[in-house]
Amino acid sequence: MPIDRIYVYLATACFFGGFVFALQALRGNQSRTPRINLSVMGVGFILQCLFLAERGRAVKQCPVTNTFELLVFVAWCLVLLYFVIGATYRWSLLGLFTAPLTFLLQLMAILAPDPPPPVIGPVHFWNELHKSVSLLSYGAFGLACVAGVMFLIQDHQLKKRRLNTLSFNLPPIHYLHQATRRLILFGFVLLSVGIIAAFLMERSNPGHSLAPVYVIWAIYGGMVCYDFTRGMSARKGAIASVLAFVAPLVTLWIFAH
Amino acid sequence: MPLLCLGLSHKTAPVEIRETVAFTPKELGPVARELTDLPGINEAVVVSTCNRMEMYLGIDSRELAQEARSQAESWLRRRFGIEQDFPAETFFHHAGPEGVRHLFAVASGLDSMVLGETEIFGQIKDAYRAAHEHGATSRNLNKLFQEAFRVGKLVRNTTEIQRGSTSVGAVAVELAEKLFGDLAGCQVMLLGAGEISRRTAQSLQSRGASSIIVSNRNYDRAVEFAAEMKGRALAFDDWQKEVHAVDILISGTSAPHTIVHPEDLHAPLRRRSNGRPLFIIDIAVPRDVDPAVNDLDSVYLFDIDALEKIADEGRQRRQREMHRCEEIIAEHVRASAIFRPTTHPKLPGIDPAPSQSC
Repeated sequence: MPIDRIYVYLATACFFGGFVFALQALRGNQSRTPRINLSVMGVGFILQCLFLAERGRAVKQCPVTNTFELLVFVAWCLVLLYFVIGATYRWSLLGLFTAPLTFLLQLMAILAPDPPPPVIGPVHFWNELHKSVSLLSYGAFGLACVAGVMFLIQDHQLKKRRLNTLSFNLPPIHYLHQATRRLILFGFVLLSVGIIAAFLMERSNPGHSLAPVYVIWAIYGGMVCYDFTRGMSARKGAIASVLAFVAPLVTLWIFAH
Repeated sequence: MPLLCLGLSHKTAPVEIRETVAFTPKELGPVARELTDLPGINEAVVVSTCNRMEMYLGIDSRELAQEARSQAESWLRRRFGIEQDFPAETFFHHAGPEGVRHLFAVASGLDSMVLGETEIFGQIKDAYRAAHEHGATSRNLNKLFQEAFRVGKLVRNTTEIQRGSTSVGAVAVELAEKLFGDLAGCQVMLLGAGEISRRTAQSLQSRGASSIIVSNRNYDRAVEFAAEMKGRALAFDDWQKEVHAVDILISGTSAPHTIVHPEDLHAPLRRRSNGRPLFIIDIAVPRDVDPAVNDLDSVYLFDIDALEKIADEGRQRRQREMHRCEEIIAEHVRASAIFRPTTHPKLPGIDPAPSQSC
């Protein structure tokens, strides 16, 4: 088995482990997610980096030449953003909620076909920018979905007045709402840049293969416009962030088959 | 060197006695120094709070323990002019490992009136610092108190002894922080000017809530109330006009029917552009707020029963954690190199159980 695939298997195991460790900590009524959770997420991230570096060297471009690589790249973006945002806001529990989604993406990657790298052509700047920035936007949408789930759990607990250990560990509900909004806006801007880059690509028919991306752009664009013009309630925003993420997932699923 | 702990607390003495046997923070260092001048006492730390007055004494040798205790008790009588005999159980004393265990428990908040409260930790630190600065502590009490601070932190960090609030006011503050995170800049509106409303608003103010609006049927009372809390008064009929800018609404009127209904909040909620939640605390009986308000998006309503229930759960949670905390403390008392029972099995004439009066 090639070494780069081994990296992916090990990273997947790490994200699964991170999820299990955090879950155990919560069940054990520990007040904080253990450091081991953060450590395994970190190790998983390093393994993802090793995989992407290895593949990048092999294909001599951004390693998203097939579905397998694409899914690992999106999972990597998700973990990257988790480390940036989680560390900034000290949201230890974000790891708990990010780990299962990352694990799911990695699992989908493992199950997806991984044909040999295509014939290496010249590297186009706009093409590379389009791919990397668009997939990074998927990571932002994924994390917005995670924050949305955390919001909905807490909203349910507060409405029902059932507070438990999880309630004490979750970030304040208003912060979650703000994070969801900002991540969606951030992802939307990135995706817009990615689409502009796509137009500038040296391709005869850019609109054809980009149709799913346009759909995703329209969904998130609609959400951003609605929120800015009419104001979306925090709960509706959270539900929308969770439901909207189905679109990128479906797109990735389509690419996978 | 043997340890002797003498004192009284809310568990052994009512407030009428506690208030007569108490030191101000400024006195803690000098009195600790004074105690070390007594025969047989080498080191001393005096802890004095509204719930306890305790003296931790490092004494010369176990042979002199009884003498040291008598000296300290006589000094206390002279210091406070105590002439009458208090009930036998008023003062307790602990010796050796039992004294160490007691200090660890106090530092961890296990001996406090509100189980697991954290204020006592800072008070013991202050008492120790004062004694140390006045030269009343040396190697043994220094080591003992450092260990007590370590154990106190360990207990708090590894158990849920301080998790959850145990009073209605504290629950309200905790929920507000759960919703908004930082309370700085939060606007609070009071409907009605009752005592519980005032206390709850003050708790929120102490955590950073900056703006208080008081709306009451009796406008003069609202003005008076607002002045007391550095807020502003609002005519009762106008509360709906300003509620859109409010983050926390505390309602505690004596109205016989509900005064806040979902339809009252539809328009104000639409005006809140940033999706900020609205936290409503209904402490009135009969209730002021229609329970259907809780079904509105971004509105979280807690009535007095809901707050009491959370406070009760907090108390029960802390009680359940007691066993784990005591295990940690027992382990550290055993591991403690100073005041080991093998070195000083029992101080002559000193019974580790609470006993006679001063």
